[in-house]
Amino acid sequence: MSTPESAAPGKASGPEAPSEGSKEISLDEFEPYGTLAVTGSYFVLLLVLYALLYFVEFATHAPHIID
Amino acid sequence: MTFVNHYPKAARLVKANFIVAFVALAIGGFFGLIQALHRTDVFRGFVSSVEYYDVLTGHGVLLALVFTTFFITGLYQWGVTRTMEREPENTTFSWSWFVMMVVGTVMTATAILAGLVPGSGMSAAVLYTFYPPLQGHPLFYIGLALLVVGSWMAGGDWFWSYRKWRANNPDARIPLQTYMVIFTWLMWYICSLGVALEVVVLLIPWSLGIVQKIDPLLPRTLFWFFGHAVVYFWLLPAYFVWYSILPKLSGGRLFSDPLTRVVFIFFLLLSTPIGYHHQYADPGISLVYKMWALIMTLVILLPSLMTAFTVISSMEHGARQRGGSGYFAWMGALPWGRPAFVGCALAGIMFAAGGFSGMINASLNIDMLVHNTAWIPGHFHLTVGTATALTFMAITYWLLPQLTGKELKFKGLALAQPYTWFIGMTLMSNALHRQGLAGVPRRVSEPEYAGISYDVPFGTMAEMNWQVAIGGITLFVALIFFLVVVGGTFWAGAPATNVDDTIPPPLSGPEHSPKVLDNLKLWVGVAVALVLIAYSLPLAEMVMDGLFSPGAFPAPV
Repeated sequence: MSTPESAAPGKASGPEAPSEGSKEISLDEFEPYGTLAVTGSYFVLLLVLYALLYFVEFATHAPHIID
Repeated sequence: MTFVNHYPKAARLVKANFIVAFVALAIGGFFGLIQALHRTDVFRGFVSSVEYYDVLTGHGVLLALVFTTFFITGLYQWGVTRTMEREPENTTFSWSWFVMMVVGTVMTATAILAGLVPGSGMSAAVLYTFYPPLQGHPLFYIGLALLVVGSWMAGGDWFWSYRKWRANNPDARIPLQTYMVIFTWLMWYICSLGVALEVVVLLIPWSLGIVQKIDPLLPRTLFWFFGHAVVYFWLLPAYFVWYSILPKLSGGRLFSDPLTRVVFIFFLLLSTPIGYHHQYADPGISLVYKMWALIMTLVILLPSLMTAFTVISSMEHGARQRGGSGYFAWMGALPWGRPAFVGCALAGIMFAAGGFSGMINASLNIDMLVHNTAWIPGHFHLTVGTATALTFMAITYWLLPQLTGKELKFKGLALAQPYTWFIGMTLMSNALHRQGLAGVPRRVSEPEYAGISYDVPFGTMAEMNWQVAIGGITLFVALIFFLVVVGGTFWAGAPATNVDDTIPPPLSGPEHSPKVLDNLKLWVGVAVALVLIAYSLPLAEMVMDGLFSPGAFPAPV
């Protein structure tokens, strides 16, 4: 279904040919495994940094009940 | 033929909003340079350590409230006009909200800047977080109220256009850009009610001397009712750019329109009920509500992670259409020589880093490690200071030819600007984060104390101070680059012959999503219910203690 977004003057009326690219990739052809790699790496980085902050900075510096 | 030819009235309005935004950016950015040099003791000759707080207030208010609000109203006016295909419904009304916002800004800025003029008898060094016990001149609060009311009217203007469009298109899905505008403003109406009540009911009577005493907790809570959601008021317009324009700049198409709508619904629902996470250290608020805010805050990470997926996959689509391949190598195929793309992409990378420090802030226990330290400005200079500000600057490079009909001037400088900003912010923000871990307080003009040495986890204090100062200078240089490009384009840009203003439709369009996503009444109802769950009992308890009586615990000493 076409929305006004894709039909108004000054806007594209259909899929825009990639201006500097060599091919057009449809939804069915597109496998975003690069996105999986990038977001997966980011998620691992978040876990490592969070663990670093919790165990190294927080747990070793914060006041303890035992202390 | 481009936007300025199709919609000349809207183009004038957008340009006027952008000009005010950029003037605020210039002044606020210069104040930032002063702060970076002053705090680090590299140079303390601009202002005294008392006047520092006027500068700090100016930096926060002019950038976080004035620059953002005017840029957002300009950007959203552009988005609504082009997707509704309508000029503003009533030009007088449109200019009236703009004038009201300008008058409010001038009043507020006057109150702040007067603090730097000896003998003016006026001051508003209340910082960006303008709650008691710090008190500003009434002009400061009245101006802010006008700015907020003007922004409400701007939203009314767009809803007016939407209703007219809906009458002609009863069964059509809301165009995506207008959808994002509507959901941002619904969220803004809900959250800004808190700051409006704080300013109009409590702070203005108090600053005018009509009442002598004030309960500190109630206005503080009302401020944070607004104070975290305003973060999304800054961020959602950046998402608007990342979702609707960045895929095109990458050479591809938006991966999913339905996912975009779901993300904006999440932000409408969850932005406001999490304000307590700024009050983790406040007595007088039950731990139960702080835990509720913690859970909701972690849930609101979800739409940001969904955004990471959608935006990165849209960029990957562009890169692969441009011939990119591999798990990571595809990023090399992206257009790293286009200023608008580079600014948005680097802003996104910075936002990912800010996401991590935000998770620390959100954690009820670890937050105590960094609460009110330099870590916090380190965090929000990655989010509003880069994810939002750099995106706004970058997309200006793409929008200006559409708004002026002129070619972008100084394209080399425009390309250097986002890289320069990125380097400056990397230096400044990493050092601020590490200073925060060492316990260096935020806000203060001279964070050195006799007999106290900071326990620095990595590096040295001197090294971190120099990184903050050099980072601040680098950021200011990037700001100058931006202003030169914008000014040059406005006044000396050559007539544009072929303006790049098309946006291709998404890979997965709105037809792949249920219509319930467009049900505004339903989502507003759920959002209001969540706010009532989070705030009704605590606010009722504070109000019953007396609006102005400092009898409510805790009272200012």
